[in-house]
Amino acid sequence: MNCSAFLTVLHDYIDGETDPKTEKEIKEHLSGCAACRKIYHEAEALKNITKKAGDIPVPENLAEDVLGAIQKEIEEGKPRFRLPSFFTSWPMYVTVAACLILFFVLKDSYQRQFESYVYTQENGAVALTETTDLAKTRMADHAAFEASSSPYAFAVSLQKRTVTFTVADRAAENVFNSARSGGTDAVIRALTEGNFAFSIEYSVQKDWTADYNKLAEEATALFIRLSEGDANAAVALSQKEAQMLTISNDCATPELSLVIQ
Amino acid sequence: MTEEWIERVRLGEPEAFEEMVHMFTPTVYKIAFSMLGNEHDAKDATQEIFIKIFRCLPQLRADGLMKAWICRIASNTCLDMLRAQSRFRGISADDENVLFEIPDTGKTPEESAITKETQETVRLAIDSLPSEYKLCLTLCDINGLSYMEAANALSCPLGTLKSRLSRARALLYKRLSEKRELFDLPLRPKNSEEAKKQ
Repeated sequence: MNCSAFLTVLHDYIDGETDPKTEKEIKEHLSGCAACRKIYHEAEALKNITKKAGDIPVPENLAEDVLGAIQKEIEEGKPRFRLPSFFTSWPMYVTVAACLILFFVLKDSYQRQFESYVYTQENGAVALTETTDLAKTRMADHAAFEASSSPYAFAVSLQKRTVTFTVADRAAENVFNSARSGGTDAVIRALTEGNFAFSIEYSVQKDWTADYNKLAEEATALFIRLSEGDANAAVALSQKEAQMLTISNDCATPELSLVIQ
Repeated sequence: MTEEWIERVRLGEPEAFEEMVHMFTPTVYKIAFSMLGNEHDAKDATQEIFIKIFRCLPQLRADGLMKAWICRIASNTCLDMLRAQSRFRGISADDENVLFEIPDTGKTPEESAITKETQETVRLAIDSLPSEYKLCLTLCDINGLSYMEAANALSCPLGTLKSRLSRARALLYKRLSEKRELFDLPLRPKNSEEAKKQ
């Protein structure tokens, strides 16, 4: 047995789960290998102190208390938790159904009140803060999905916290769908065919580093290349983005936003 | 634990059942204590667990895995209680960045064999592990279940159990070995030169 093989059966050996043949091989190996012997002693010591730490005194009369609780349970002869009958009666079901219907009706109505929708991305999660209508909500959901799962995530996560979408027609939805199913090339095609105008707006705060400004400019240039069909730009852009996020980690507010019009 | 005795337990025969409660109370209590971290909750959990066991007696099989069956009910009940208390940390087995503060006892290695403080420190370290790791250590190292019994108790394949146990020990080792002042055990090299050799 060599050291590598020993390490694969180390825990089995310590736990007494090895067969006699393997055990003999292990003992032979340990007698001739100081390094493995040391590892073995460390692992064995760890197991011992774990066992010792768990060796807590059991409260006196606990078993009797347990038996008493069970006796009580038998005497009561009923489930410990039972819902009041109202909760299992038909008026309750009707009330719940009415509330659900009301909820969905009001939800739709509420969503249609807004003119724009903004998504806030924090720590990798994208949350909806305002919505327009259901179609746009779906697009927004896609955007949120893409932020963590597709090549198109570059567009959403390019900016650290806030992405404003002013996309107004269904073509935008194609972009999101393409991004999810077809990767970067499909995104570029969808963007081109959709005749989207791109602009990247970023403002640099005074206290931001010169490095960040430079990276932001480079990212802008890469994004323009990407919108012109250069697939390689996507990879480079994501690298720039990573650098920018590293630099901007300490900053409280986002400064680079992508607007698709 | 003969099959005949298990069958008597299964049928709810008072004497056999009482014997079983006395026999497994320490095991169940240790699992509860390890998972919940304090005596009060552990006692409540122990009662809850045995009440469940009592209700589930008809499902008990005389196949030699009675201890694993009891441990499974105990583990699941403790996890449910943790969730109910909102203490369930929601961390996966891969998350190794759990906050863990070990109190500094100020003792030198020479002074610090396995003292109560050390015991408490190790308990805190175990308590800081992800739930599935904690369960593996509790079942295998503290309660001495075999791999097969522990895998059965956790309803997972044998390979998964072994891998979790190995990771749990590695993580525990890492956390304890960071606190050099606490242990007079070969948990880490005694000096930096040995560390370099490793």
